[in-house]
Amino acid sequence: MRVVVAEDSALLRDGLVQLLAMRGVEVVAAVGDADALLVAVAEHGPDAAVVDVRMPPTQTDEGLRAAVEIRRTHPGTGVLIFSQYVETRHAAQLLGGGAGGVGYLLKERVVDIGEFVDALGRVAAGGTALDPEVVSQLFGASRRASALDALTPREREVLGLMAQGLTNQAIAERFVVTERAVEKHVANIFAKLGLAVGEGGHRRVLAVLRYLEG
Amino acid sequence: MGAVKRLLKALLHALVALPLALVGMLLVVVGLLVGGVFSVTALGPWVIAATVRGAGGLASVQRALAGALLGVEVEAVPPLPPVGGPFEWRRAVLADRRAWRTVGWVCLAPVLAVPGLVVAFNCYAYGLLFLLHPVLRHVNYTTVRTPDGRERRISLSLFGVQLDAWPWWLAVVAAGALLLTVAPRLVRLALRPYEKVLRSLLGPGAADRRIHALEETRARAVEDAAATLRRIERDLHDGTQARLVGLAMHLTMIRELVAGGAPSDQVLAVVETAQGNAKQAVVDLRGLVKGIHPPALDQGLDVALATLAADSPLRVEVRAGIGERPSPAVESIAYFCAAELLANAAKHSGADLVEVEVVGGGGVLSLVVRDDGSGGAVVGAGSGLTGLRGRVGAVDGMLECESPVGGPTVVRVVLPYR
Repeated sequence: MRVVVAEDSALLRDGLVQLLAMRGVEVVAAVGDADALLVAVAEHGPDAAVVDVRMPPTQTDEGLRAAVEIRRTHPGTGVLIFSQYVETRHAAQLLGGGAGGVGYLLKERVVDIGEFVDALGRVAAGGTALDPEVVSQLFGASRRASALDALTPREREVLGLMAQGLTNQAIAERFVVTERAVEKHVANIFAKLGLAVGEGGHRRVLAVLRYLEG
Repeated sequence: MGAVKRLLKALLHALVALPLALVGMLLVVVGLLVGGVFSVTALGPWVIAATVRGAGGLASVQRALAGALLGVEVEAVPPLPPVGGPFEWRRAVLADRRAWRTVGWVCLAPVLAVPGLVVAFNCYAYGLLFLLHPVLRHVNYTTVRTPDGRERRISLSLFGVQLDAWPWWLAVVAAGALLLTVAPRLVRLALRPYEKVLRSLLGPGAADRRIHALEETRARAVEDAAATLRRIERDLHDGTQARLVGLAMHLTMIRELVAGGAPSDQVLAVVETAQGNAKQAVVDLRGLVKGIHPPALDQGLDVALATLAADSPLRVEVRAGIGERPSPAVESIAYFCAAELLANAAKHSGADLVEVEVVGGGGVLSLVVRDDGSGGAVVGAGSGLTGLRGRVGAVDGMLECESPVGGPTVVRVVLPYR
């Protein structure tokens, strides 16, 4: 997997590059601001980019805007937002395209480097990887009360794990149930949220989006 | 042309002001009388309140007129915030001192408008008559029979001197021209009392100005607090939090290395980096805490200032004489003023020695920071001194800066204890 890292803190950038290298992830470029990120992505066409939200010059949401730009111009490059705080609006904005290939993880998730690299792989493969914190905030503050009410508690849990980017198989392992049972929950969720079969593989992403859109 | 336009406007005002003021006063007086007569019934207070409010409306017309025609800008006093029901409204109107000031104004305005009109009329009427005297004397005269039986036509005479013949009429024409020339100034002068009373009765009073000042300093204090919180958040986010994430990364690295059976010197190198980060996180936090509330301040401003002086790269002499301790908020403001001024001195002035003198007692804390640097410090846009002045203003204090080019710079801060 070829990856570009954009992080303005040299300390975290170097640490992340070393950690990824230890897990066999090839970091083709590590940059410190959004402009350099866009240049690096255009040059290397990586499988994924790990992007800090706050970067120079304004230290607000440069990384996020660059991420949206990358998803637009380089659909083949997944974007994993790497942030120190939870911001559901940012996640919603990124998922706005509905095509997947995006993730939002808190920086401390690198402590579990195996899961972090898995999440990066999912994003690179066009899936999603939302931080459990982001997901729980979305559920906590969901403004789509009607849609949420329609789901059973178990279905809500399943949706939460879907939002984190887990496959049916992984969810089944988590709950210690059969994959069949999870598929049934997922089908129910799609039905209750009004997602037709025709929407194909993106339905998982769209289901998550239903909550994000509010 | 501007002068002519101004003149015409002033004339228009002189003409309009009096009738308007008369009608207004009449309405108000009648309103108050009727309200007074009916005050035994429930109707009276309503009539009075309506009259007072009407007086306010009329006054704002007069204010606008003075602004448009005389260029007398009187700052409008913001209206009272809207209140609940009609009874609330009535009570608010009747209790509003500013509203009653407008009533006073409406009653005085006719008297005050008279001089303007009289002077304007006299100046221009006589000015024109005098100017046109050489022509008018042929039309406008009285015929007198002199003792010797002859008829004489007299148009204008002063103290028995007839001013109709050459060269006397030239003097009259000159007088007319002079009168017309000085007329605008005289009219202006005659309007002065009108303007003055308008300003004092309809403009913001001392209380209004105080409220305005309080609103401004409050807004600044709120902004200041928000900016401080933002700065702390940034410092935490970019400093301590990032260091801790870095520490977590290094610990993860160590685990990976140990699990992979890496040689110990490789592991040790990462451990050392992690230690460095942990230490730096503590240092960052200490700096941040000091920026929020220096622990030394708990022991008194003098102790805190001594600590501050020891931290400064410059030679700093602190002299403190504080009797009764001021409130913690005032101490904190004084401390951060001193900190900012010392930082400024170190950064910009090129000074060798800074003297900090703080004296407290009698309900006033005074802080003087004097440096022997190059001077030229100004309170102005973007200057740190402006921010300090805002903070000091929030507690009704004041900040003065004397900093001639070439130095020395002396900044005085005076803070009331509460």
